[in-house]
Amino acid sequence: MENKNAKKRIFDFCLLLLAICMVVGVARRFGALQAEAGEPTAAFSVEVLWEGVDAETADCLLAGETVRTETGAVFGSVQAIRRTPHQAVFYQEGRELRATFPEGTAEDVYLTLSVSGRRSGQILFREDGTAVLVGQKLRLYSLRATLDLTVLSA
Amino acid sequence: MKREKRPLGLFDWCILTLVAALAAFGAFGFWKYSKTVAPQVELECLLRLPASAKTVDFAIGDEVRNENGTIFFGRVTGVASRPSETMFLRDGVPVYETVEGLTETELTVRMVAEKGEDYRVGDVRVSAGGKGTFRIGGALVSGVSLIRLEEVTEDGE
Repeated sequence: MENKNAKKRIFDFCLLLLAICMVVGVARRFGALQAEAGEPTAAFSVEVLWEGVDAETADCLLAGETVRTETGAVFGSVQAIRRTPHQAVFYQEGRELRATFPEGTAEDVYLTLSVSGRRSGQILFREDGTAVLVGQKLRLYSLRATLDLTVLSA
Repeated sequence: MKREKRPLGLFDWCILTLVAALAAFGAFGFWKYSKTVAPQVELECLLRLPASAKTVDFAIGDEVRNENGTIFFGRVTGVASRPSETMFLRDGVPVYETVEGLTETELTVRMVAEKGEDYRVGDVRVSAGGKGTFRIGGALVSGVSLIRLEEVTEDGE
C-alpha cells in the first residue's frame, strides 16, 4: 500500500516538474524572465565599416533597410551610408605605400546603424544581451547583401 | 482483494489542464507559423568569376547549380569577358591597370527565388557580397562572387 502511494506521489511530482518546465520555457520564449526584461531599451548609433566592397555590391544596400544576423534576428537598421574609394596598402623595403582605387571599382562603405539596446557602463548591449564592441567583426545580412563589417564606434 | 481505484484529485486535474493548455498553445503556434509561404520573385544576378589565364566557354542558357548539382539556381542570360584590372606595384609605384594574360568573366543569371527577410533558392541565401562554388554549364567554378542582384519587374527591367 505504501509502495503504491509512493509511486503515485512520484508520478504527481514528475507531472508537476513537466508543467513547471513548460511554463518556464514559454516565459523565456517571450523574454519574461530575462534579467533586464523590465528595463527600457533605447536606440543607439553604431558606426561600422564595410571595407573593400565592389561599387555595384554597395549599391545593393539602401538607407532605411533592416540588417539581420545569421539567425534572422534583427540587429538594427541603416540610418546613413557614406562611400569613399578604397585604399590599397603595400609594404616595400620597410615603406608603406598607399593608393586609392578608381571611383566605381572598390569602395569603403561607412554605415551608421540604429541598434536597439541598453548601455551598461561603456558597453552597449543589444536586446538579446549580446555586446557590441569596438573592433568587433560582424557578418550581417540586408535584403540583398551580405555585409562583412567592423565596428568603429558603439 | 479488489484493487482500489484512486480517483483523480483536484491537484491532478490542475496539472493535466495546465499541460493540455500548454500543448494546445504550442500546437497553435506551430500551425500558425508553418502556414507562412514566401512569395516567389524573379531575380537578375551578376556573377563575377575569378580572373584566370584559361578561357572557359560559357553560353547563354547554361544552367547554374550549386556545387554538387542538387540545387538549380537559374540560367545564364548574358556573358561578358574583359581583361582583369587590379592594383599592383610597378617599379615601386602602385598602379591600377590590366594584368596581361588574365581575363575576368561576368555572367548575368536569371533565377526564381523566395522573398522573405532575404532571397532564397531552396535553403540557400542569395545575396550580393557572397562567394561560393557553382556548377555552371559543365564547369565547376570556385570563388565566384555575386556582385549584384535585382528583382526583375514586370516591364523586364
